[in-house]
Amino acid sequence: MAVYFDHNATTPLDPRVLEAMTPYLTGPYGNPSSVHRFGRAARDAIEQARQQLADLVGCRAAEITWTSGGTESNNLAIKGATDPLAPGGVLYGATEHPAVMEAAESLTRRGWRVEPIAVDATGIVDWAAFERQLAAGGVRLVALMRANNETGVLQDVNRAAALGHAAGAMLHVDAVQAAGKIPLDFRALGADTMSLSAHKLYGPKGIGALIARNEIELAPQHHGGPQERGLRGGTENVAAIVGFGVAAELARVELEARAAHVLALRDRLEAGLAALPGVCIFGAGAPRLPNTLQFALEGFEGEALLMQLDRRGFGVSSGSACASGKGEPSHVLLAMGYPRDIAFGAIRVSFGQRNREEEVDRFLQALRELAGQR
Amino acid sequence: MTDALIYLDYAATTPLDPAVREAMLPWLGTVDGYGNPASDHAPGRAARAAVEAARAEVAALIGAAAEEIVWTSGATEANNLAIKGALEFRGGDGAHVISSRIEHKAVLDTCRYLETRGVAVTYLEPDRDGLIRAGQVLDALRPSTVLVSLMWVNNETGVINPITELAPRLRERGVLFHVDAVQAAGKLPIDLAATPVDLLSLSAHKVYGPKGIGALFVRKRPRARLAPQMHGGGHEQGMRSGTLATHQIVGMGRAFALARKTMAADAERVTALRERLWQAMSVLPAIARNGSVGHLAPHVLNVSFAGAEGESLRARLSDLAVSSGSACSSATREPSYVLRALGRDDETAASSLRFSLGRWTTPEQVDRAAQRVIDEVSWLRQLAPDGGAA
Amino acid sequence: MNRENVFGYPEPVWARFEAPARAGELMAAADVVVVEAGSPAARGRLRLYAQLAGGRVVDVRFQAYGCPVTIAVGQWVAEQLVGADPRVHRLTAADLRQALEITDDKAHCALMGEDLVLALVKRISG
Ligand SMILES: Cc1ncc(COP(=O)(O)O)c(C=O)c1O
Ligand SMILES: Cc1ncc(COP(=O)(O)O)c(C=O)c1O
Repeated sequence: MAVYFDHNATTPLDPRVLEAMTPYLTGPYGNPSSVHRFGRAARDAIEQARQQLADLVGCRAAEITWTSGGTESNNLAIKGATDPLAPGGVLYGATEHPAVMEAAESLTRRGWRVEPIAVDATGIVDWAAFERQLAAGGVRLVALMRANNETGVLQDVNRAAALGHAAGAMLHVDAVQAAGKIPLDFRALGADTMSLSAHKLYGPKGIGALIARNEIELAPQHHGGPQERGLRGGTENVAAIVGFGVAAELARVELEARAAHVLALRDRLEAGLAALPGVCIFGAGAPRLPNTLQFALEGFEGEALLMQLDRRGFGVSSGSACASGKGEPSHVLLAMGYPRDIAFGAIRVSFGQRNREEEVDRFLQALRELAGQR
Repeated sequence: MTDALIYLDYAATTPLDPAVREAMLPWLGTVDGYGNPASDHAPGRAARAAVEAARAEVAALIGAAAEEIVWTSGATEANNLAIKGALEFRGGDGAHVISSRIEHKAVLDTCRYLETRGVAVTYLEPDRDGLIRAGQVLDALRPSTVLVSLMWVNNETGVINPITELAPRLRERGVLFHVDAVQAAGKLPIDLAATPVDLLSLSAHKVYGPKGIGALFVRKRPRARLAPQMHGGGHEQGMRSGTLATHQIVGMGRAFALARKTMAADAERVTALRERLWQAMSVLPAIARNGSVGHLAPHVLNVSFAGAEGESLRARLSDLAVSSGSACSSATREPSYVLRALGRDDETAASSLRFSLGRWTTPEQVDRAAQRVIDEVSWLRQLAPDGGAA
Repeated sequence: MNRENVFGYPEPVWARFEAPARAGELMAAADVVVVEAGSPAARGRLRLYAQLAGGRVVDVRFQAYGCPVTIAVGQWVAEQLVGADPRVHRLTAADLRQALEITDDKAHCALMGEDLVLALVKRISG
């Protein structure tokens, strides 16, 4: 029986989510922008899902725009918010997801000054350096993730919001990994825009959301069509939106229990790893997501270790599940100051609701055997 | 109640084919089939294999190679990526683009956006029958023309543009050719091996596949170059990032595979039903068909009903799912810009309906729909001063 | 026939649009006046046939071309006028909007109804 420890890459669908989606994969539900009866039913379902998501993340339903996923949300936030402005400065955390980094870097072609914000060895923003960057002036947008996808390290986005706003900058928060794992409150965070993705919280792939405060002017990135108040054209993916709504509702209701479940597993893993020689746990000194643990075993090359674990039926990853960067060490770990060879050895374990203690024990056993063979 | 509704809006969206749904379900996995196609472990590899099989199916319907298919969230995104991506790659300033007045909003709004960025755009006018002629396009070419974007089949009139005639002429002149083929795929044969189109947009939910998934064909030889519009992660050969939605992609693959099998038979059957609908309605005086009858895709019939005000007509036909203009959220609406471009006045455009037929349309539905239209048009005309003759 | 108010017209509008009483015309006669309001440009036209006796309307029919609200307005005006002296019983756009729950975006339809009544008053006052 295979063991899946890669929930930060994607999660299985919750059966209750699938059940909610099924009518929309079955009935002759129309294009929700069409006027006839089928279209109305679809539109009502979309608005209900908007409210369910709003309740999870502490925003108003009207602040939600549906997208095709976290990547599009980040692109829409960063390009959409800067498009209407005269070029200035953009800062992004050095450990951001590539969707944020590359969207931000793309702005250089439009005359923007784009810089990463350094992090310390635990992966936390170097606040002094950040303040200096803001003090240099002209920064219009700061992008900082709530939770890192590789290490699970949490950023104090509240503090970034206060500093950024004082310097006249907007704050974009990539909360793709945080949603459903830790409490998330858009208002309390002080964010201006925030990205979410359903498939990280037991919802379907291919659906995400961007939350944006009313005051933020966003230029559409998918032109054409009146959908999402003209901000995001394209026929709505009704089944997936409904699925996202239900996944959000379940995450809200079950948040504490879920977090406790995965935290117990992670503590067990962390305790077990401590007994192995030459273990390095990344971001250990920082607050982290309850389900995530990224580590390296000294002397092991990550790819080789991953392959051996894969053969034994363990689905883990080195870091992000991205199409690029294969054969490149994690930019997150490099930004935290780790040398390339250690970064190359990284293994990320990210737990989910169906994982069991017994699986953690088998995983530790496998690691011990592999370490012994070395 | 609902069972009485007659669905004649297949051009807006199609129901999922049950076979497509069956193909999707394993990839809406609660226990299996949920891997991220970008992941390097067993669940990831399984998802990746499914994605690649679907890519081959989509390519096969249009005579392309699998590696020429880039997944998007729909045709709106595909149109945006094609047009903005091509212009951004070449540098938009001083460039010229040719499109038409009857394109889908996803193309028109993108062109409008480009105009704000220093691109000159020519919007070709169709003739009264909704046709754009190849010569018109060639006449509009300038030395600075870098892109022509033209739809294969118009979504409101069903009129087929001369894409196969035009493509080689544009290739000779080195002008990039983008085609919005959303309403053509699965309706007419498309063979990109023989038709040198460079970029071609597709959507699954018009072909009995799921909503929220589409594709852009990007020719490899000669290579059509695009600047990515969605950054991050480098999926889809760097042209379009974001986690791939396996179930959606598998659904589109299956839908296109089905279309390949049933296209010829579907076309014949749907064309016959469309003509049956028109014949049946023709007992009404003073109605007019929109769109060149000699150049129609099988599934669309667009009719103007003079003297029957459009909003009231739609409201009284609530048991028919039909469209007028592009989809919008109330009965009050702007008259169709496509029919306006065909030279219809506001009044005529507003009292026009688009009927679009598909895989599950039956002769009985067609007959019932025709009778309903006849009844309501007659009723409204009778209620109007002078029988609706203004 | 399952005609349903899928576009969410106000109930008083929908009921009249569905089955408008007093639709039609009256035969031309010395005591029958015909008045109109609206224009094709406004995409609405109302015509009223009123049979008069001593300034009172004894019988009435209407015809309408336009949106459901326009049709309902024509019907309501016709209904209200039966037995009334329009010079005394002055129907206004505000009355129409209230009675038919007409929303702001359809305010012009109520005005068309008022115009129709004004046209009738003018004819009677002559
Ligand atoms: C932090 C973070 N942001 C953004 C994304 C992208 O989301 P999606 O896969 O929905 O495009 C991911 C996951 O891949 C992520 O982990
Ligand atoms: C011709 C045409 N192009 C593009 C689109 C947009 O496709 P999608 O709904 O997949 O974004 C549509 C349908 O709405 C269409 O008919």
